[in-house]
Amino acid sequence: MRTSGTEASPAPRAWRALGGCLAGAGFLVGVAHVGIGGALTSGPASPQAIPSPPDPSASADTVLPWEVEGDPASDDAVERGAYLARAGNCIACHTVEDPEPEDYLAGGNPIASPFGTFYGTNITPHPEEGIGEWELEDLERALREGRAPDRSRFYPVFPYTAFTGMRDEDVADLHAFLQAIPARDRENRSHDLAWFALRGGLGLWASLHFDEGRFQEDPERGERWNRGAYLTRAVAHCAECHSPRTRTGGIDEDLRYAGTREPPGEDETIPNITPHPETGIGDWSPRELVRYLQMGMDPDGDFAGGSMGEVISEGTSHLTDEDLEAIAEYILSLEPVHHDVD
Amino acid sequence: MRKPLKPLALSAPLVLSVALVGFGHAWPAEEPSTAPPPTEDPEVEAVVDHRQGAMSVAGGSMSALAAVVLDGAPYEDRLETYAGALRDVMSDIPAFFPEESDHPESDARAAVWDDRETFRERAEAAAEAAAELADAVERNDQAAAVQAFGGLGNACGACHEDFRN
Repeated sequence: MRTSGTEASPAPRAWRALGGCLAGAGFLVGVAHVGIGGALTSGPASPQAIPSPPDPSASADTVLPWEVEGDPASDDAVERGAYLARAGNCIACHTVEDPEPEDYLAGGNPIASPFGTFYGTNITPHPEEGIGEWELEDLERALREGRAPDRSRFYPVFPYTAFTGMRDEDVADLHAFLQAIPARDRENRSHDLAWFALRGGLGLWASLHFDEGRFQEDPERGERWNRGAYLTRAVAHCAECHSPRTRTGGIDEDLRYAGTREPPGEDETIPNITPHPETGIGDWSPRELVRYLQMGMDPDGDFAGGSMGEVISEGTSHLTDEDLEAIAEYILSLEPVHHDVD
Repeated sequence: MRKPLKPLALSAPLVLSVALVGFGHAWPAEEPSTAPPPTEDPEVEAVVDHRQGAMSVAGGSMSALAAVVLDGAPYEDRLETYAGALRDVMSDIPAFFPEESDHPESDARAAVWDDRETFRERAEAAAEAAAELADAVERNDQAAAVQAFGGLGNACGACHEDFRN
């Protein structure tokens, strides 16, 4: 949970995005002709945007990441990149819990694992503590190969296994965004890892579990399906959490997207999101899945909590209706896998 | 008969380094809980059954409301029932979570008891949002009802995000 519920909170919540749809031409426009008790006299209400506190370090040419919805169709690379940062939910790992404005994308968030605790890194454009010195090719190398500018390998807690599929133009847009946000001088914290989590094994890990390469469209499928496949696989990296792991720490390909009941260090069960009728989401309609990703409400009227609540509020609730429909089409086209994790 | 050679010299360090290095999960680390551990006491189980049932009333009401308010199902005359149920159920959520009412069947996080103050704040926000929704429905104010529905959904998710698995 990123917001404290106070008015000063900088983090937009899922419903703010809903309000955006409401005010614009989104999915809620249909409400206008429904009415309550037949007494409809006014159009949809305008949402109350959550005010953000002023940021002393922000200058006119910087972009405040918590304020940005992003726009995939913008003429501005920074706006397009901001949208991709939402779709990829960079905030989840690269921002501490209950952040102040200066915390956004400045790292420090602890990420528990069986190998110890990792700390999300500072990806603001600070020249020493962040990635301000990174040229486009450095970000490309990080996303596509999982390597730092000095060619050392990242731990796969950074899901380059997914980002390797990103389009060239999207990587460039993301670079433009990350260089446009305010630089923060938060020092990266060393990962607190068990003795056996050796960097020397990372090359071996990559040789077992990493296939470098851009996303390939499936010509047999339509444009929307392909857009959904690209977003789901290469950007939003849904499979990273929604799949069990093999003993060597790679995704169990037979159970990709089929959920896991053994996440390390938490009681949380990660659900099966294949359209299996009993153990997955086979009884969800595309409309219901879109609504879930938009506002967190599932077909039972329950609202997402835990890590998915954060994915929705910081990530998917900021995506366009078209992209959410594309993701829903792709997810619901997956091979149904019987895997009961509840 | 000769046993096949065990390639120990190669496989042991290889398996060790590979098995123990890689992974891609990312879960937030949590502070150790100071709350009592879950109990299987039948009385506690009944408390948990009640609160899960009460939450289902809330969820079912939200689902029915969404179908009418957002999707146009022709049951406007029922809205007061659902909004009224929400106002009642949400009026005092912390009462459903007394001390020592954690249970293996419960999805509540230890933070419900460890960080009671924040939990109360979130619950109060949800209670206020539910009351606003019920008021808007009673007034037949559709725009306000949609807005309040949004506020309540926001409050539900905000609390679940930190306090429920």
